[in-house]
Amino acid sequence: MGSPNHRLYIFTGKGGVGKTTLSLAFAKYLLNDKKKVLYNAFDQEEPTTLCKSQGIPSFKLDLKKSAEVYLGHKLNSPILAAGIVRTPFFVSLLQVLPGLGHLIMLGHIFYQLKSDPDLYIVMDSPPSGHALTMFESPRTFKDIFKSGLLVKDIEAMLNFILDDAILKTTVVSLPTEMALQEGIELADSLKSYPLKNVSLIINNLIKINSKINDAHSSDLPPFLEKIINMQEEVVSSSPVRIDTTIPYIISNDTSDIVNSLTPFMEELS
Amino acid sequence: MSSKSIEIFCGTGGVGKTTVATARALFLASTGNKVLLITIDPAKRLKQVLNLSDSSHGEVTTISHNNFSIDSHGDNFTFDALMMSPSHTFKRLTEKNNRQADMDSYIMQILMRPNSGMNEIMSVIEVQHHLSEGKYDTIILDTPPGKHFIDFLANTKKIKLFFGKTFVDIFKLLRSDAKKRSNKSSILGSVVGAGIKKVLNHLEKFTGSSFVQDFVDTVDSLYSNREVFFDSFKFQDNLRDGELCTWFLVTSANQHKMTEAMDISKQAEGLLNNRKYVVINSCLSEYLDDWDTGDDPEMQKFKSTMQVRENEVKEFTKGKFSGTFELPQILEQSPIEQVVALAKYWQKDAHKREESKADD
Repeated sequence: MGSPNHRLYIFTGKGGVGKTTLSLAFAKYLLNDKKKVLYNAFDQEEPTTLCKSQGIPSFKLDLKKSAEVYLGHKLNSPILAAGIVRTPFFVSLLQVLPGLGHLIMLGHIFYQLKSDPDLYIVMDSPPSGHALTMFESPRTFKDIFKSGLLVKDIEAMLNFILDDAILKTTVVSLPTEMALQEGIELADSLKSYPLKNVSLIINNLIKINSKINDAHSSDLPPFLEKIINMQEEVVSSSPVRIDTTIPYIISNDTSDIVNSLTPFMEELS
Repeated sequence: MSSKSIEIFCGTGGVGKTTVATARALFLASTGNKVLLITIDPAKRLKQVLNLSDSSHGEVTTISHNNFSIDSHGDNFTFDALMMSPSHTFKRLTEKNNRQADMDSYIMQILMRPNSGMNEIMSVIEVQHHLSEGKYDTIILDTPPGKHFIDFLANTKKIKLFFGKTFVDIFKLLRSDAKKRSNKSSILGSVVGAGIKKVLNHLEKFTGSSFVQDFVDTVDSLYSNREVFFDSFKFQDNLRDGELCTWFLVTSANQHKMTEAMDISKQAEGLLNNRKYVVINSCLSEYLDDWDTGDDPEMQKFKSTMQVRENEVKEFTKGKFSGTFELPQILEQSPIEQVVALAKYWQKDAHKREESKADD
């Protein structure tokens, strides 16, 4: 297997499509290839038990800490930075402007990757609408601050995000009308950013699960046949290209599902 | 407080919140209830479910009965829908206060863009506005997935903090200072405490030269519209009122994230009330029970995997809510067909309850 083509892999999409299981499976795929990887759940709850049981190293982003570290660098004084970050005004500002928090956290990720050229990060992003807020946060605050040192840093971050070699974004969807439509809309928004390397995939396709595929159609109950047909129709009548399809995994154990998905991850690198 | 009730649909991602909330709205409208369905999820799936146009963002749209093949009580069918748009909400509130010029603040314009992150805070104001207006019998809220819903509920607290006493005094000072100053750098002269001076002082070194001035103007603009933000404090009280507010945790029979779902439920209860129901969507038990897998081990495994998961979801939620609704998986492709099928389920369920009441 060749080297992965990018350094920051973001899995995004509608709530419930499988971002977490796929990003963990992908991190595992990179680990199996002896790469230095960190899994990150951005501002979502990290599945720590699952990460540990899978042996996937992870790091959490603490908003206040990230802000403090960044300000400490800028002001050349960690003490001053600590003071500012603790002021009621700053705390309140972060709560009222979630985009600012996103910017700070993205900055931290960017900093990690810049300072360690061997590192790969797999990010399990927030769901669609909130993912857009995250992706747009650098631009939002660049427009607000207009010029100056902060803008220079934001521009560096933007160049990083827009760099062909750095970021790959996988928009995950499901074989239903609602999910695919949301995936298409999200992928379009991201491409017009203009993010390069945005791919749209469909997860949980029952038909391509090898056990189901091998079954004779007479073995499948009518309700399942109907569901499979509806799924196939969604895929075949998709107005845009679907880059990859991932099978539905028949299991109630998330660890099991992550293991079963890992062989399909090479296509996503 | 004039609207008769508000129903909130929350849950983890992908369980069917939007479809279920819309079905519920359709059902209530079919009984002659005047309904407003609001979606505050920035992903706006409601647009697809109800075939709404992009131009209807932020505007209340009337949904015609003709869209649905469902019976309703005579001519009384009022079903309105609204997709939240922060800029529309902000525009309405500046117009209400006759402060249209506030719309010109470039910072506010940027912050009110759909993806700037102000969606949830402005949603509180928008929903409270409709509650106060009292135009509808029931307002139904379709919320963003998972913890983003909890963030939305916690917004009243954030607004209170931002407009809290310390900041209010400082904003007043900033405004009066702004009027007096001749030199931009003297803005920060007499502001103390709460750290604003500290933050702005250092900020000036890193941003464009006009930014701090623009920032102060924006804060001034927010402060001038503060009454509307304060109105939103009533929102929290309204949601806590069990007579007014009912909420539904939507989960799915193939839900993997049971722990997260129950976590949301627990946090929601702390911020709402205990008039809570659970909706288990996409149930396949009837189909699964009828499925004869024969000797095929793979099919047996498939069937039992699905049954086990569905039963776990049902067990997990048993006894923890005032009531449970088990909605069947609808084998229809189009979202509108799914909505109609689920609305008919609510109709049948309502009939059953009436009949059993009559039997008592």
